[in-house]
Amino acid sequence: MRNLNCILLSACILISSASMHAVNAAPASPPIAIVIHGGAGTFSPKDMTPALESEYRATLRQALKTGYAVLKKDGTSLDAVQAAIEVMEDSPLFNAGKGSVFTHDGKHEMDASIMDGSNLKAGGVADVQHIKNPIALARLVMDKTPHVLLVADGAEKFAVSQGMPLMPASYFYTQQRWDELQRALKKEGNKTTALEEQYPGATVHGFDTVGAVALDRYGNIAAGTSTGGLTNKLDGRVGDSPLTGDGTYANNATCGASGTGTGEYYMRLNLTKDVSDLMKYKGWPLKKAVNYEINDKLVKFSGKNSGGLIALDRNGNIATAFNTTGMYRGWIDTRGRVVVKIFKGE
Amino acid sequence: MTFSILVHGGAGEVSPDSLGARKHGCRAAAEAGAVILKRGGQALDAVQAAVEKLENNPLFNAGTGSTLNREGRVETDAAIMDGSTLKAGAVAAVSGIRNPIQLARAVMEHSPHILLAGEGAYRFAMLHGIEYCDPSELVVPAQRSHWEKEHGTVGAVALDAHGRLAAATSTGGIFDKFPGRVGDTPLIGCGTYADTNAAVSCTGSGEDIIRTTLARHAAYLLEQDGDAMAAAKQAIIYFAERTRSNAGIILMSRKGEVGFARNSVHMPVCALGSSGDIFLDA
Repeated sequence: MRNLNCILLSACILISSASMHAVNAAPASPPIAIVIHGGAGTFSPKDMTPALESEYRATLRQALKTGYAVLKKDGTSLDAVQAAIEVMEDSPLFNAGKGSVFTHDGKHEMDASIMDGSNLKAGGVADVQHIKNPIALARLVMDKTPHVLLVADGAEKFAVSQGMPLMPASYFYTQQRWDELQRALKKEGNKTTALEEQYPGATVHGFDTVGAVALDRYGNIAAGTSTGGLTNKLDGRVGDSPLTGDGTYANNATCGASGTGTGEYYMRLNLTKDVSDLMKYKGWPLKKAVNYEINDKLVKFSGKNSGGLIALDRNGNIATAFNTTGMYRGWIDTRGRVVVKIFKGE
Repeated sequence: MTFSILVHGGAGEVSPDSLGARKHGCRAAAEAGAVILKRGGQALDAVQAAVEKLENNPLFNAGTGSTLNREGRVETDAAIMDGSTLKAGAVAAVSGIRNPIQLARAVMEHSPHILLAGEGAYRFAMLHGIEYCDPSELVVPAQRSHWEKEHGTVGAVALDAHGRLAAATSTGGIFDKFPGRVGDTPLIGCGTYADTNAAVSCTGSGEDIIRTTLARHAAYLLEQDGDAMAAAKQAIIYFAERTRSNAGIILMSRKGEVGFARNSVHMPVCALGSSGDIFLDA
């Protein structure tokens, strides 16, 4: 059944990419593009069964396709980013929405944010426990409140006021994440200062945050990020994902970006805003700025295996970088080419 | 002119007859920080002491005297950052903590995280012996009617004798905010930022400060230009052009030069130098 799905899926993509070439041949059509990630981590092909690997690839493709369909229909980059992220939130494979990791106390506390590069509007939520699609709630914070960030109970009260259903904790449960918490709790006795050591789940299986950045026909860039955070994190911990300039940033003048990694480092370095600053003030091209942040600045500050980043500029140029051994990632570029990758050197 | 500590009492518009008391409050806070710096203490301890002083002063919207949210409750945000290590700690939407800046410091020192929020932050406070109180003790009834016009947030930046910079900011947020709302104050690079080059604290329309990551932006401008006062002014111009809101900013360079700017009506500030120089403005 899964194989059949894969074949059908790739057939669809082939057909749609063929028609895209035709569309893009018309000179009047401004470029559209989307790039997504499903988290960076230290995984290699041997950690994964072929079946699991193809499941990851199929879900990444599905997320890309869903976001791209919005852009093709002249939808906005905000809607595309949200749609792509919701696909990954609904999948138990990724650490966001369903399949989120457990906190120290065995709860799910999810963070998400979305940003509109055309006007620097943004919305974020943190520490929500019962929201099926935290990215959708982040969008509502942006659209329906005067605020940028709502947390915990206040955020869920707002969700209810907007008619969003609250899900039971059991919806988010996955055996794999539960086992990761148990392993982390066992190791906790070992005193060490390295964050990676305290969160074995985080590095063995990856950070698995999800994110998307898109450029629409109107030339607007949007970015979004959603995550369950770190396995065994303290209750109440907020990472970089819901914070503009840290895990998520978008500005039409420069780029949109979404990060995945040990959030505490991204927060100290304001990593995504830094990419934008390098482009704006130093005139660096997107790829150079993204590579510098992840493979130079972040590595010098926090060592290898600390994370990755996806970004896209106003011309639809796409850049991805990670200092781990892999990052779930994919994009559909301005020429309509679909690319999905997981490991390094792929 | 070089100074070692600079504090602010929030951007906004206040009744003119309270300006004197506010300037005095800022001066007392700067002095509390300067005492620590004078005996060779850390910039980090100095900004914490200055902010605690302002949190304890009911005139300012932080700690005691914080504004009320839509449900009539106090929820506070605070952050502290050590420029020499880029270590940072912050709390958001916490109730019942007398000095939120102390809790932010504890998050920095005793957890692997940077930001804790709500209930989880409160439980962390209990574990680390941070002073708690009945949330209603932070409410100052006489002030309530004034809050609507003000933003108000308190902050401090300092440079110590070892050349280390630090920044701290604390606030009750904005009047009538949604429960759970988090502003710029506890977010590193938005309301608070420090590195080896600059220490920055912002105040004003929080949502717009977040959208423009104002503190980090000002630090970047200082890095490019080297002039603290120009960087503060340019940052506010950048902010005003993009948002049409009000904000204020204070910053200190690694040479101890101060910069501050506002496009709000008022922002009480006080700077103290190691040789006893003083600068007061509102």
